[in-house]
Amino acid sequence: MIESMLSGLYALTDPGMMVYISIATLLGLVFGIIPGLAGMTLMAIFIPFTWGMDPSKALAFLTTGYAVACTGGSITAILLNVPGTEINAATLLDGFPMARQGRAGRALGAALAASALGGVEGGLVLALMVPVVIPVVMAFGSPESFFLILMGLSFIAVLGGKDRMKGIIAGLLGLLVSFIGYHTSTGFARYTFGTTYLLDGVKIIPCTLGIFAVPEMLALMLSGGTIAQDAGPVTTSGSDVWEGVKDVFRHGWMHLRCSAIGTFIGLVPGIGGSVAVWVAYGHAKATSRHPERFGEGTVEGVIAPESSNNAKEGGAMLTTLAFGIPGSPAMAVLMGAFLILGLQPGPTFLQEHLDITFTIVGVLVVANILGAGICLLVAPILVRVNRVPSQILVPFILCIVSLGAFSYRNNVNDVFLTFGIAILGWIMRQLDFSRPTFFLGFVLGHLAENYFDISVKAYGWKFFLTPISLTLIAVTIFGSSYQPLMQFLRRRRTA
Amino acid sequence: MKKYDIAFMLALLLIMMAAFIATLTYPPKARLFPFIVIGISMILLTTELARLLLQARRGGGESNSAGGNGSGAASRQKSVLVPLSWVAFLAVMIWVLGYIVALPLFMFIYLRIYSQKWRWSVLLPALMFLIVYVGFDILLQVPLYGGFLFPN
Repeated sequence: MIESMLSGLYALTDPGMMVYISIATLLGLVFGIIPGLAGMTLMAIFIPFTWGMDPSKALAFLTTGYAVACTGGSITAILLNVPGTEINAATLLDGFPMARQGRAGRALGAALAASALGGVEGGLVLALMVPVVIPVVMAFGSPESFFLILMGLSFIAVLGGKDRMKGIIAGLLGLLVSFIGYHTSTGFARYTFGTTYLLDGVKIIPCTLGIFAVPEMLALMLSGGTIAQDAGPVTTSGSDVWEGVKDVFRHGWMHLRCSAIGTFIGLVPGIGGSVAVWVAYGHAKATSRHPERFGEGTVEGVIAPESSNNAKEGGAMLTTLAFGIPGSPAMAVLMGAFLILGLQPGPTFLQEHLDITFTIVGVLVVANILGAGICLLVAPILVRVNRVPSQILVPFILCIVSLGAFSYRNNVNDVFLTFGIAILGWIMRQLDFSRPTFFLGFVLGHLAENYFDISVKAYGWKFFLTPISLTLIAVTIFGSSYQPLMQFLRRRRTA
Repeated sequence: MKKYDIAFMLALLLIMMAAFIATLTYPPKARLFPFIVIGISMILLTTELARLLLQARRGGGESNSAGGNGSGAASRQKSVLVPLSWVAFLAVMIWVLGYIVALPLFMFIYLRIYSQKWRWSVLLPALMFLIVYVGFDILLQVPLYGGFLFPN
């Protein structure tokens, strides 16, 4: 264990690794700042380019880019009232009023420091929990894995956004798409329309690019102008920024609580950072001595969501690595990268690739510190990216996306499939059908079917009669029915 | 939006029905999971469609006004078609001309149509050419698709 830890952390001292981390940090900041181009889009665009790379370096590159994008997104949320990613949406509630009051530097300092510290704390939790998690995950066979995946799928209902029914329908559509191609157990080709191209199924790269990256560009093309066309001039000063950093330590106990909320929510499969930040914000407001100041420009309202948004990555990563279940939609994309690089996240991953696990922990810690540090230095310059006209940004990104889709397998059909899925993704975006739930269904559907087939073959139809499986079934039922049940009881009480 | 919701859900329902018919021909093991997914989807889609149609009926002309009519709706439909046309145009250009020609040319045409300055209209396609040709073709040695007109 210690040997793997040292070997994993030693990999970070490789100059090549540091170059990848530095490049990804800069890219992550740019993608975080540009709304629509979140960390998930960055991963989707750059996964094909990691093909053939050393797995540690490839994963370090992607993990850094994603983690830093969350940090970068807070800059535009505070300065321009434009959240870089949906995870930064809660930050603008108090961040932008602070900027309007001339305290932009203080808000930025608080956000970046809280974000970096939260990310480090999440990474440390991941490192500390690895020894505890290994014996637990070794008790997981195919039936337990099947029920875990089923638990992840049950979160389709939670991820669905405002309209839960639309979210579930999108998730089911994703599941159906995941069944395209050969059925692993019988070798029977399904929904291929007689083409050989679809025999291998719909690959994760065309699906990721088509469902997330291209629709955002189409929406930007439609809106026109620049991303931040309505924002006024902004200024920041060094002493204000430092005051904001000190604010995080002044509210240290609240920061730690919100960071713990982020890590815990990250652990639960299927729930992303967009839930964590609101829970953290709500908790901070509920426990504050001055809840009336929230929304008016209080620094606590900035620290709370920013503490949780990077901390959740440690928890989400643990679930993804140890159980093979993505803790968030972005982790589903990262899981796709693992599979492309020939690594199968799941119960055996922590035993076979413990060194890579610790490298990722180290990368999370380094990336968060590096990202926040660079952000503090270059924030005023990076904000100008928001002023790039969509007429320049859109064709550039569309060309990069088409290159990414092609270079994955050097197959031009992947590009056409990407654009085909993009049309579906764009319609879903316009009509508020949740794309993360579609993607969750797409990633987990095939896995669920495989584990189910193996379980039935190995243990017969009573495969679910194991203590862990029964516990997981109970947790899934409880998790899915808790909220509707509470709502029903509340309604009865008021009636 | 209700009108578009109904149209999209109706399309999904038709797809599910076609998938259901196709699934009937599969062996039992291969059709178990698809049947479950299709079954639940069809139930949810039918319920949701019925709810939306009833809502539209009760609301009278509300759904029509939400969807819009006259020149406003026409211009909206036109503006919705523009981004999709650009994507289709890029796909056709890649298929016909291949990557090295299509991507810089696409950028040039796009920038000219959206009346960007000549400086940007030349610099950015040149940058794209460098990325595609020097970055991918020469440095990374990716066997880029040559296109229908210039096959590799």
